[in-house]
Amino acid sequence: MSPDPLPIVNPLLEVSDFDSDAGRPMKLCKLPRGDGQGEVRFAVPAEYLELARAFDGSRDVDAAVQAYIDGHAPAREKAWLTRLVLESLMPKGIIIGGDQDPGSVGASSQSTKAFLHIKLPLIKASVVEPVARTLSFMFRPTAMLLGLSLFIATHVYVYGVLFRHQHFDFSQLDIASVLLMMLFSTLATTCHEFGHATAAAHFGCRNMTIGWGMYLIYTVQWTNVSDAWKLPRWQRAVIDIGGVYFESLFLVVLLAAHLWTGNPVYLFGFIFVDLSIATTFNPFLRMDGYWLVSDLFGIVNLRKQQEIWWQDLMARLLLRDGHAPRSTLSRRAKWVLGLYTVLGTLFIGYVMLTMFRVVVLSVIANLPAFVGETWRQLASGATLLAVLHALMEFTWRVLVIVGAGLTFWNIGKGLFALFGRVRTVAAAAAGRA
Amino acid sequence: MANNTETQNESLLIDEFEIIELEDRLELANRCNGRCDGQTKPPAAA
Repeated sequence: MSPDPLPIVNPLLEVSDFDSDAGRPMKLCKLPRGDGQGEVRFAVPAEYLELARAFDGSRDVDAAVQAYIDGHAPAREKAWLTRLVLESLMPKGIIIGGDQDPGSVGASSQSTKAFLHIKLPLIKASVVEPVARTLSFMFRPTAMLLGLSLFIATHVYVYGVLFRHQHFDFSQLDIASVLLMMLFSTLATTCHEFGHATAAAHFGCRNMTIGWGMYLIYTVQWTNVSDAWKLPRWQRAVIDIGGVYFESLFLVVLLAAHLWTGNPVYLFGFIFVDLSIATTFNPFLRMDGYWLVSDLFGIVNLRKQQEIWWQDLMARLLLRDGHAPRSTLSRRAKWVLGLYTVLGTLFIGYVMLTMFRVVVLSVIANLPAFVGETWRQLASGATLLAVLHALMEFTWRVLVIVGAGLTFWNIGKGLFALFGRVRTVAAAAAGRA
Repeated sequence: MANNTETQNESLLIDEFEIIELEDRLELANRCNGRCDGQTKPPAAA
């Protein structure tokens, strides 16, 4: 009987530099996901890859760790390094058994839906990429400067000149105008997503898919630009604002249509799209503002870092001086994270309260009356537009109920897990006393 | 706590060895789904 093949570094592992605000040099490691659903990426302290290189197929784990210690004199002791290999590098698929399939071991802890309730791909990467590459000249500095000038000029003209002579009340829009507004919104959002994809293509990223999904109670379009993790932070930030850049070009089209036809609905469309641009910079929802904060300050996995911030705070309060903080961020990043976490928690609390008031106290409570009234109107003879409007109103209600239900369910599970951790920390504190 | 409102699968994203699994970069844009006058505005009773 032949002995088991010795462990090796996964031959499918792709390594590049990783730009973050971590306290020490990091590398980006990319592997195919074992379940075939894309890729998994890890930010790994650079010295661990030196350890991984000792796994060349000629040594077992013990001998490879020893060879690394002999060659590098690391600060960590052998038992800790062995645990690192057995409990992290091997389960993640960075080091594999010699008899394992390298394409089936990349393990991810994330759902394929990421943070969305629903995630449906709409436009495949093979369609997105040629379009994005063709448009990538838009991210040359001169083109971006021109775009910025156009953005400022259109806004000065709309709010400084046109706005003075118009009264805007969205509740006064008729059914046809509301449907037109939805069309504008969808077109603007599609431009937005191609903006992200084009910026990513400009910097050499691949595999950008565009899709539709549901986030909290909102329907959203999304672009997967995970390949951008390999880029320097300033290039990632350009990708973050690329969506707004392209969406603002759509605003120019709406303004031109208004000036050409004199129809105020295009101006309503301009303002509506402008408002959605403003909300996309909110850093506490997972939209462009979130990625901007993450990239500009080099804090990766901002949501997870928030959780660690709270855990460190609780442990410090409960364990006093016996706690080693888990966060490894620099001092500046820790301050930014602290501020972001406190404000973000307050904001999310406000969103949850609003969601409860809107969905539970209003939408669900009024649903029977809405259905009865709509049915009566449709039964007494209705135009196609009225039917479409009723369908739209009903869909809106169903979506917010489903979205809020899933959100509250996740909150419940999250709180349950959080209390579990608090109990663990409290038990540790009691054990010390 | 805020992070737990969106997904329950992140508990392993950062391990004790400071290896971080990077979250998928999905760049979102909110679109109007029937309430273009503000999707969190309470609808009037029909």
